[in-house]
Amino acid sequence: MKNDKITYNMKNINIKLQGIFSMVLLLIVSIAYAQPPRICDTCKYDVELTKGRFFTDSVDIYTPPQTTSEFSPCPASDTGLKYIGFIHGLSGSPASWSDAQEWTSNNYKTNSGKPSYVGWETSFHDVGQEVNKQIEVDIHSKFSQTKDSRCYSNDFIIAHSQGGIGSRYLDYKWDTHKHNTDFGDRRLFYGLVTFGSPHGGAHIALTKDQHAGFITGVVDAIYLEGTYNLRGYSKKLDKLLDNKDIFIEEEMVPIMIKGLHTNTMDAMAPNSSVMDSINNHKSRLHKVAFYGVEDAPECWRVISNMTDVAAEDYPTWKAEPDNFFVDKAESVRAEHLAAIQENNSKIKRWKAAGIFGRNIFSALMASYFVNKNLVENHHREEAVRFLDNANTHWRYLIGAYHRDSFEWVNETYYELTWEEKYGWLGKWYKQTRHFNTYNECVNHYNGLNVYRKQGWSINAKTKPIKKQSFYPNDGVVLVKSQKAFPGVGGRIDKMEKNNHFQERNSPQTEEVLEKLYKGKYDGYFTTLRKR
Amino acid sequence: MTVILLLFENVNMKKLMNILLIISLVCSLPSCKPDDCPEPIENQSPVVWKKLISSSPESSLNSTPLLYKDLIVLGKKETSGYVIRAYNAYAGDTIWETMAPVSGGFNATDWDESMIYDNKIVFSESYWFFALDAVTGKILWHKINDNFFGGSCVIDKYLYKMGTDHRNWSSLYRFEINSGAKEKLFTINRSEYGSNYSPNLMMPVKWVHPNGDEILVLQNRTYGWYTDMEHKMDILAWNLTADSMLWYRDRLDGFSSMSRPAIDGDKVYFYGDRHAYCINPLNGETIWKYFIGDGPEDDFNTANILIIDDKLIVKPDNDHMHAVNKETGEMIWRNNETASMPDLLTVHQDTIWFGSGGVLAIDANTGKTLIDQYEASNGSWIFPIAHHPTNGHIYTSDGDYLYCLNPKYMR
Repeated sequence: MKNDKITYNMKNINIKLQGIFSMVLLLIVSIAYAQPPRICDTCKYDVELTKGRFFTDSVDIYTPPQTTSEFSPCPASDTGLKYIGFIHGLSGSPASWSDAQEWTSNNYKTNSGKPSYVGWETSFHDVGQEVNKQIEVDIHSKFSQTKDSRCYSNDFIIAHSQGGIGSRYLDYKWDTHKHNTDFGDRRLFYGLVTFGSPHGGAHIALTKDQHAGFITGVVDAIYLEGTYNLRGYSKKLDKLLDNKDIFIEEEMVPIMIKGLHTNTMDAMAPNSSVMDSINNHKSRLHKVAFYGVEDAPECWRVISNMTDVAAEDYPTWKAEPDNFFVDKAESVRAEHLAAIQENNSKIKRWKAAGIFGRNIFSALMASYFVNKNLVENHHREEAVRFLDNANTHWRYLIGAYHRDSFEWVNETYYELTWEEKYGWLGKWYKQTRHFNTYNECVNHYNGLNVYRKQGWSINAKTKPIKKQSFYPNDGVVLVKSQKAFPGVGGRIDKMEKNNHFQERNSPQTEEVLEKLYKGKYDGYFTTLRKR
Repeated sequence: MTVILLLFENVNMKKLMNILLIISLVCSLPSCKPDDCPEPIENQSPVVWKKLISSSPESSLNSTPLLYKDLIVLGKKETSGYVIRAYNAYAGDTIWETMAPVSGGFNATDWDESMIYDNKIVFSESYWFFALDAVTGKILWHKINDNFFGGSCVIDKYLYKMGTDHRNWSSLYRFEINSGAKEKLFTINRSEYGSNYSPNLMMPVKWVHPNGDEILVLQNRTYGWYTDMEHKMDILAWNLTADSMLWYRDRLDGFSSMSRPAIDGDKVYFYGDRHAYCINPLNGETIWKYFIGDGPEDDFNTANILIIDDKLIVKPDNDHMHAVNKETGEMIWRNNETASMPDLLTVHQDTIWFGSGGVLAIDANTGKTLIDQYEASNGSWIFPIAHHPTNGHIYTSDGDYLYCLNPKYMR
């Protein structure tokens, strides 16, 4: 009798626990469904709506009045070779341009070099001073003429990213501070070709304080996916894991990005005193600006070149693959989703075990494991949310994001319909699926593993979707900033599907350099082939 | 019903199973009428075939794919030198392979650096140019000259080339395509025609004067090495028959494309700075000019010109494409969503094709984008498109592979 009473009480508690548990679940679900729409002014990053091409590019170009060049050309009798200097970008090194420089030297009549400013990113004054010194040393080591007898008017610089700003700073100083010996006693180059330089300023400098948070999110969601199943075992362990995130954000990541957070990066912020000075200077340089435009998701493509293989480590002109991190992010996202699904099944099973358990112990066990899986799922869902929003987040960091700019556009999708049956006596069931591409439809139909299928058709349809506009970019610098080289006019060219790092060593780099040396953009840069 | 029950009572289970099996077989036969049966799905991959161009490339670029009968001809710079190969257009097998008689940096990549005339193929870049037999790949003749620069063109049976010292003079030459016999046509010096700009003759088009004289119409893309260090676009007409200048027009525009003009009847079309020009070849006067826009890329660093029926296709350096009435200069359509940086526009059956981050096809009649940056790989889809005249297949490359694609399945 006593045992029966205990059993009854246990069952009672069990039912109550299940009730409470169900209430909590209901509450969670209610809260989840009661959330405001994700596209809203108050949301931090809203939602990833950047599928496909939808660019807004308001050209923002500084146009100070240009004077015609006052430079005297080299006399026709001067048959000496020209010097072409390749200058790297932020946190780069002479190796950054090694492929292009070697290729130029091997194929064209020029002496070229890779002047560097490694260790001098304390200010653009220091960068300019060091570049000036390095070019001078480089030229004098490569040419036999004395400084006074050599004609420098044909010499030009090819610079990537910050290297272009440093070169422009030097040009500005040569023109405006003629007696400042920090920059030598004469001009050393007369033309400047930039790849991905932020002439209109680097917006990424404005969001410097938020870089660590983004990288922590990447590390946590992608690299530490294996730790998610440790979540929910105990509050102590959860706290430890939370502390790990804080440690990554506050200790590890700042060390990782220290090399990027230089003073020169700050000085490249839009409308900084340095940018204002060089953008209001009437430069007499011969100019060409190449700009990269990268497809979404730009953030993963840029990170691919930062973490997988650097652009210069590919064979010459072969830095076109940038899918490593795109694939990685997608596979990790799929792992998170699979784990969430599996946890949901476990939750269901534990709940059943709790309800039908024989004693309080099994009820508590069930409650514990349900809770553990819920906690794990919560963190995994956060990770998925981060991954879904990562590109928009990244666009916000580089200034490409317009949080309030949305537009309804029609997107094409493909509707696959067919009939299938599951046995000879079974009836035909009509099936419909939607896909983004025609080929996906075909692949799906071909891959169907059913008893019989028939009557398939694919129809292109459109649906209105809400798209967020953004400034096109190369994953780091906005296109409008890359093009904003004052006085460059039409001497610009686009490098399709090139991220900021690929710009130095992609097939398009070879193509535009070939055209540059043929004089297509400006006869000044004509450089003859080696025989 | 009673009969069925009796039947069931009198048969054992094994027999019943056999009966059911037979019934099911009988039922299944008429259940699938020929019309209802799933159609075998044909291969719907756009890639008909692909072929590795080189196992030891020295460049990521290759020449413009050229179609001669059933051969696709392509040149590629390799570690061993510049190699030209002809592939069977239907299967991609290599038919012949020839090492180009060149050295140094030779790399014919632009559309004006390789071309077909009759059964001859000509490659020409910078100092080097040579002709080979399209059927066998045998080199017919080759030339090298330190003063030659830039691309070339073929008119009638002549290959045209420009020579220059890059400061003081520029000459136009032509070479008989079968023998390579050289003929100097004329020279322009810096001091001539009222300016002090360094001359730089571009490739011509041929027009026949009403009196029967053969006239070459071309651009002198001068550069102010001794003046303002800026470009100046002069145009001229050289009377080949009379061996004299028919007319010379100074400063049609400032900055200009290096593209060869296009000719249709008695009109010649040039690309200047933010304008396309229709010029009367009789006297050099402007018949009309079309303003493209005042954006920084509404000009032509890398353009070429295409005439399709009554339209002049204008593709500036940005994402835009315009179709202009070739008689009046009025816009027929405009598409702002085509990609930029095309190497060569080609036309096939009223569709404009080019490569720029993928294969693009634009309806020449409406301007509608039919294929938008199709890529069959992660390679570099920046090369021009060649068309098979009958089966509709197209040929292009991603830098690594030569592709034969079926546009029917390119979405």
